[in-house]
This record gives sequence, C-alpha cells and structure tokens, in this order.
Amino acid sequence: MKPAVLNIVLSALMLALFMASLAVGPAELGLSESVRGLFAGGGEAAGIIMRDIRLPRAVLGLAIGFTLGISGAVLQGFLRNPLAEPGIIGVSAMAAFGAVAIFYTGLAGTTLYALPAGALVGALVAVLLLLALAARSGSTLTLILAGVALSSLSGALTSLVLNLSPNPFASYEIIFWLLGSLKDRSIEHVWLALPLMVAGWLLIALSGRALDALSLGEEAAASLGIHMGRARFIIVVGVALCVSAATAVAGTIGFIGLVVPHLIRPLTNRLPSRLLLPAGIGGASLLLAADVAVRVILPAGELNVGVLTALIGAPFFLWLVVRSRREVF
Amino acid sequence: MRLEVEHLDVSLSARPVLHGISFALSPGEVVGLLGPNGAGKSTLMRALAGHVPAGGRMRFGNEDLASLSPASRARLLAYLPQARVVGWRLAVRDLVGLGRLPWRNFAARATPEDDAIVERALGLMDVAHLADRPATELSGGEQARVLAARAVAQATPLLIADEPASGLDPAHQMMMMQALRRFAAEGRAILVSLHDLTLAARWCDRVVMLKEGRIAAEGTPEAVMTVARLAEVYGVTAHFSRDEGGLILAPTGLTDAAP
Repeated sequence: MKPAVLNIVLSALMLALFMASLAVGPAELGLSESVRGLFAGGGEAAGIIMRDIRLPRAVLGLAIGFTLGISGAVLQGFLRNPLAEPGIIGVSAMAAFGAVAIFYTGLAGTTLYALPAGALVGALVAVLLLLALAARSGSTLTLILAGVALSSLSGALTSLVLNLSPNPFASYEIIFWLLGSLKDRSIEHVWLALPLMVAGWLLIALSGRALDALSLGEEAAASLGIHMGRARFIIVVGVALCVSAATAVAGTIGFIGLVVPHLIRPLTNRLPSRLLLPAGIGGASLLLAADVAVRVILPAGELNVGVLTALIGAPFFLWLVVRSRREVF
Repeated sequence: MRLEVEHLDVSLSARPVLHGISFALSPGEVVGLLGPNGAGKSTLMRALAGHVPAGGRMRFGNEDLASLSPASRARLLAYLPQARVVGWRLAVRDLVGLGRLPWRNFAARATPEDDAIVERALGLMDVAHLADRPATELSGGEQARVLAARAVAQATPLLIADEPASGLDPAHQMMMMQALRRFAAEGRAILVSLHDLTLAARWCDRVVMLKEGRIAAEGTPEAVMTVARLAEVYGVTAHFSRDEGGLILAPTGLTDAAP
C-alpha cells in the first residue's frame, strides 16, 4: 500500500475510534448533546462529563496508543529484534516502580501530580543508568541486556514494596494501578503527559535514517554515515520520554507496542523508517478501541484496559506467529 | 584521489593485530588483499572504514580518514562487510537504495538520479531481475550480489569489499570481479579481500599479501604469487600454470610448515 494511503486510512480509523471513545460512557448522552457539551461553555452536566471525563480519556488513549505503537516500531527497527517492545529498555518498569514507591509513602493522595512525578523520576533514573551502562559505546545487545536487567530489578523492587506494604488496601491499590487504565484521568494528566510524549515522538522521528541503515547491520550502517552513538542516544531518550509519560498517567499497558508494528509492517515496504508513523496511528487506534471495549463489555465494572490488551494481544500475537511461521518480521 | 596508508597499527582488546602496514591505492586500481585466515585482512579493512581505532596514518586525497565525521567518510568510502546481514524483508531495490543514504539530506526523498544509480548498480551485479523480490528469500549467492550492489550504489571513489566473492558459484565469482573491474574503470579505487588465489591473480592489478598482521609481499600477482611465497604465507604447495588470462593456481597439498 502506498504510504500516504495507508496513513490516511489509519488516521480515519483512529479518528472514528476517538469519536467512539467520546461517545461511550455510563452517562447516556445523545450525539448532539455530546457535541454541544464538548464545545459549549457553562457548567451543565453534559459539558462537565464531556470535557472533564471523556475528553481527557480519549486524548490520553490516542496519545498513549501512539506512543506505544511508535516506540515498539522504533525499538524493533533499532534492535533488529521482532520481540522488542517499549518495555524492553526497562524504562516503563522503572517508571512503574517510581509510582509504586509514591503509593507506598502515602504521598499519592496529597496531590494529583505525586504519582506521575514518582514515575518520571523512576524513568529518569532508568535512562541515566542505561546511558551510563550501554548507550555510550556498547552494542545494541548491551542495551537489551541492560534493559532486561533494569526491568527485573524494578520488578523485584516493586515486589518488595508490595511485600512491605502496610495494609492489604495499599497493595490492592498498587496492583490495580499496575494493571494499566485510562479511567478517571483528568485534563491535568493530559497537560502533564502530552508535551513529554510529543517531544519523544519528535526525537523518534529523527531516527528514521539510522533505522533504515541498520537493516544492514551495525557496521554497514556506520559506513553509511550513521553516527551510531548519537542514534542510540536519540532513540533511548525519545522512547524514555514518551513511554515514561504514558506510564506515569496510565500505568503499564502491554502488548500494543509489540503487536502493532507486526500488524502494520506487511502493509509497508518494510523500511523501518516508513513504519514509524503508521505504527503510531495504529497503536492509537488499537488502544482507543480497547478502551471503548472495556466500557462496553463491563459498563459498571472495573475491567482495566491493560488487562484487555494483554488478554487479546497475547493469543493474537501467537496467531500472527503461526500464520507467518517463515518470518514474523 | 589516492589512498595512502602509512605505518598502520591496530590492536583489538590490547592484542596487537596489525603492525606497520603501509601501502597505497590509486584510482582505477583493483587491489587484492590476500592472506590466510587470521592474517588481519578484515581488521585492516575495518580500520580503513573507521570501525576499529588505528594508529598511523590513513589519507585519502587530502583527507585524513581517521578524523572525518561518519557522514563525510560515507561519501568517500563504501565498505562491504564480510557478514551478510539483511534485517527485514526488504525488496531488493529498496535495500540497494540504502546505498544512497549518505547522499541525501535528512528526510529527503530519492531523486531520479538516485533511482538511476540504483538501477545501474542492480545491473552491474546482475540482480536487476530480482529487484522486486524480498532480499531475505534469495539464495546466499544472490544476497551477496545484492549487498555488493548496495555498496556500489553508494558511488564512492573508494570501495572496500571484504570477501565479496566467497560463497558464489564460479560464474558469479567472475562476474563479481568483472563488476568490480568495471566499477574501477570509472576511476574508483577498490580494495578487495579474496581467498581464491586464481581469482586474485587474474582479476587484480596488484595484490597485498598479509601474514600475521604484517605485509609479507606486495606487487603484481606474477611477482607476489610464487611457489616459495605460497609455501611461506599459506603453508601450501600449489600447481601453477598460465594462459592468456593470467596465472592459474591450484593448491595441491600442505607443506610441512603449514599453519
């Protein structure tokens, strides 16, 4: 498919799902009522529901989905590994641990910003460690290994906090947050996370050439004029920015970053640079769809979108592997 | 532009691998780099391409190769690694088109001129008929030619090719050498490492023979490739004959001093 056609079709799908996300919720608002609520000022109920509840949720669904899709695509291209996903460099696990630590200290209730701030600090520590360990001179393999080590370390630290948590309710709260959700997010969450995510996307967009050249291996890429150290830095920081912001406001949402690049890649000419934008739009569409689904399946319930994406994503990925056994990528 | 290498020393993990290598390469020349496994051929090529730090001097024209940025080096020197890596299921034409990356500004599209250079590289390496096939589904020999076409498409004045002919059938080995000769005839300098002695003797203007990280001999194939030298460097006895195309060398056995 021509890249422009693909991007337009996916964008239309994303837009439709964005509208669907705005239209779904426990309060039964008619279409015209919703639209009026979105744009009209004033404090009537429809306006509050649309602007303070559904709009942040839809915007975050779009932005976080885009983040997961584009991060998965850039990491698979950079590491030349079809199993790479946004979590592989350990930043999201460290961000999650940072947020969990905030729960533990009890600061979570003090201000809306405490939890995201903890997650961002965790992510920052992860990035500094990664850059110190791997990004300066090491190979991409060193980066993967450092990421795996960071993930298991933060996993262990998270378990430790759960273990020591003062009461069952605190543990429950932590686990629930870790499952990943877009429920009850406010417009402040959007303003906090969106600028970081956009900055991350722009950095990732700068790496297209390096990704294409890397199709031929690291030495051939370097001889094509790619400054490998710089590419590694841009990609690590870009992914860290947007993924940590996503984790900070929504917890960990799995499988979108892994699956979406595989879904979209056959529709492109498979040059990794051409996959970035459609994978982002595809990720946004998928997360919006999943977030609509959790509200339709259990309207009153507490089904977390992260649970749904993992529940559908894993078998779907398996099917993808079996279908194209010769080559997943 | 001439490549001039003077007193090049390379150590890998503190182990000296190359000692005092000096040689030169002129435009239009195909120079074969020979020597047994482990003699330092690949290390020499990687040092020239800037992938391993090296002591000594490497000049190309007026440029000091070691001090160039990766981007400017990529416009002077194309390097074809020995390991053949095809990361994704790219179409052959897209893969060869990657050779044009150093010549394009950020995010710029391929120009008609880029496309013409890519088509010519495809033709030169006899892979034009594979242009729309996924590169991952080709035979080893076809992949080798496709990757060589990528290096050719970089259209640099200096090409460094690490064993481009290994794993090819005899016809395509000769075709590879013929393609390199035609590429050199455009005024480019080519350094190519080879294991096939007859191929080196018949297709290279000069050969540089390495042994244990030092230059054992350098000159025309006729001058360098002698019974005594093959015994000394490779530890083999060989049958020599000659026809109008040059020397024919067939290794026949091991000498007592074989490595």
